[in-house]
Amino acid sequence: MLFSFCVFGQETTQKDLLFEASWGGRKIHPDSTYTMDKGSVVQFEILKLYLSDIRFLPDDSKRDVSVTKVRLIDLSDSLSLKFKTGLLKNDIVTGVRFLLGIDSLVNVSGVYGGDLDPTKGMYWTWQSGYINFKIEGSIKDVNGRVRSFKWHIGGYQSPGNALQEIELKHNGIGTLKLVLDLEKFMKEADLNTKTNIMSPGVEAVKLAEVLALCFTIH
Amino acid sequence: MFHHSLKKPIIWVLILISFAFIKVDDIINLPEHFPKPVYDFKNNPLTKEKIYLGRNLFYDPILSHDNKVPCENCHSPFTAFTHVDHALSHGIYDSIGTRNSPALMNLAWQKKFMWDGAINNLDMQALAPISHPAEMGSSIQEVVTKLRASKKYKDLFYKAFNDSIATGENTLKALSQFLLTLVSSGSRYDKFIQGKLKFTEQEENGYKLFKKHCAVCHTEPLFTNGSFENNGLIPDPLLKDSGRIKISANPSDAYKFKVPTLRNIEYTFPYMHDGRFKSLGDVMNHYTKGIHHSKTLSAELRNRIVLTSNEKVDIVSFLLTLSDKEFVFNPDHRFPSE
Ligand code: HEC
Ligand code: HEC
Repeated sequence: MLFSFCVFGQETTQKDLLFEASWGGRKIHPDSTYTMDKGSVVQFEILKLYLSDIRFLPDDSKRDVSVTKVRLIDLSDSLSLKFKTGLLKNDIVTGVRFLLGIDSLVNVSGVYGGDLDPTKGMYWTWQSGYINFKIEGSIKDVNGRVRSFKWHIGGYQSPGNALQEIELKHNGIGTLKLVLDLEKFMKEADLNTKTNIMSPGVEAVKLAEVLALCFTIH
Repeated sequence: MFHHSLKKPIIWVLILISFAFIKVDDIINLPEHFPKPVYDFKNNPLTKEKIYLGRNLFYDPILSHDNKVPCENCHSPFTAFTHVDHALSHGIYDSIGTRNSPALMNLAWQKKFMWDGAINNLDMQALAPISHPAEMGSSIQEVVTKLRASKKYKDLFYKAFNDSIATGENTLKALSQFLLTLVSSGSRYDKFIQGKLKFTEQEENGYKLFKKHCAVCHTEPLFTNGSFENNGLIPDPLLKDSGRIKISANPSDAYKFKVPTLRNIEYTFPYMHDGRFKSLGDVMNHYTKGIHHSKTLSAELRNRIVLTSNEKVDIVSFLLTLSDKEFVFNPDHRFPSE
């Protein structure tokens, strides 16, 4: 501890990781609406997701790459959208690797606190398991018909294991901003039939795979 | 000589292991004739203060939305923590659930919870009744908010966790602690195993028959092997409860339910997941002439079990040796009135 303090003594400003949900490059706000290709208008009410086991690349054991083991991102809680990485401003980062959701070991090991506390509303009650992400909102189509969508996606046992491992490349320097492109997600998600998925299963896994492809890092 | 030098480290290991056990053993009794518990006590080390907090929570209707339904409502200490007389449990606003509340005991040895194993860890169990609209109709968020506002609980949480502010984690850990103290190992059967008493001839014969016909599933000393089985009940057309398949999505699990313990079975009627049988006589008749054959019926029950009526009575008399009065009347398990 003391040693590393001496070595990096001059460079104490840390790099933060920022999270942003975007719609075609614009930052998403829960109160705003967003227009899809065919004129449907989307509004997001809830976006909550777990990121866990975040590691920055190159995976160098000498530097302290351990971010808090699990982070709950909640669009309605600005404090959750920015967190310390343990990296210093000048550290080179060539990429980031993380899990979207909670791994199976944590899922079977009883109750945890902090971001994993069940009061966070990200734990199923009628069946054990964390909800890896929640996306809820509504879509109004061109004829004015409004439908809601509600996805509570999780599950840790195959064939319903929804956990996604994600690895993203970064150009090395500057800030770290993790962006989730919800426009891309809404295009790929099946909005005609599968607008309510609230339990583990193959459909949940499919949707998790779609969401996993919508992250980029800047 | 060689033997001698080997023995020593083994003795040390044994001493260390027993030390690790004594820590739990000080507070709850881990019977010598039981296997190693499944519950990971390291993650939630027992203390008297946490157990006491959990005990208060268990008996407090504050855990329900209308402040009227405590856990005790469906799990009474005098009936080995089940809901006697009701086939299906009764909850908030007199709503009726879809399953019979199981007796609660020896939970530290249980791998999965609920009739279908929906819950994978004791710590998470309480979330289900707290949130179930037909049981306590609340949520862990609401419960924690109420606990934070209560002077009594600020005090109890402080004593237990050095933090007066309740959290979901600490609330559930405390409840687990109380549930873990519900160890039943003082029945006549246990005393027989410990060599402290002899069975009657009838009990002895019942025990023999039990080992032959029942013990594959209701395995000693916990009287369950922890697995999910279809024991040949005709599915109830109204309840439409298909059991384990709802959790596993595996067709071979249709109509399988968790093998329940038979300890304290004298007190826990009615029987089966839907409480369809009122007496042990009914249960014996089911196993001898009521088995419903279906694809997932357990292999052990495919061949008819033939028993004379005397033999049935013998098995029942053995089952009654599993009654543990010390457990049922243990004042430490009851409503905490100081
Ligand atoms: C309205 C009745 C009711 C209330 C209130 C209730 N339970 Fe239960 N409990 C049940 C039923 C019914 C089951 C079995 C449900 C199932 O299998 O789907 C059960 C199952 C359990 C189990 C699992 C036992 C096993 O062997 O699998 C435990 C542990 C338990 N309850 C503890 C509690 C606690 C702690 C509370 C209070 C927070 C509570 N219960 C409140 C009815 C109730
Ligand atoms: C193939 C496994 C199996 C065998 C063999 C078996 N049982 Fe069971 N038993 C079960 C299962 C599973 C249940 C719960 C079924 C349900 O509720 O759907 C059960 C339930 C019971 C119950 C009700 C317990 C309660 O708390 O409601 C009793 C009593 C019982 N068995 C006694 C016996 C006796 C006596 C025998 C031997 C004649 C026997 N069982 C053989 C699997 C078995």
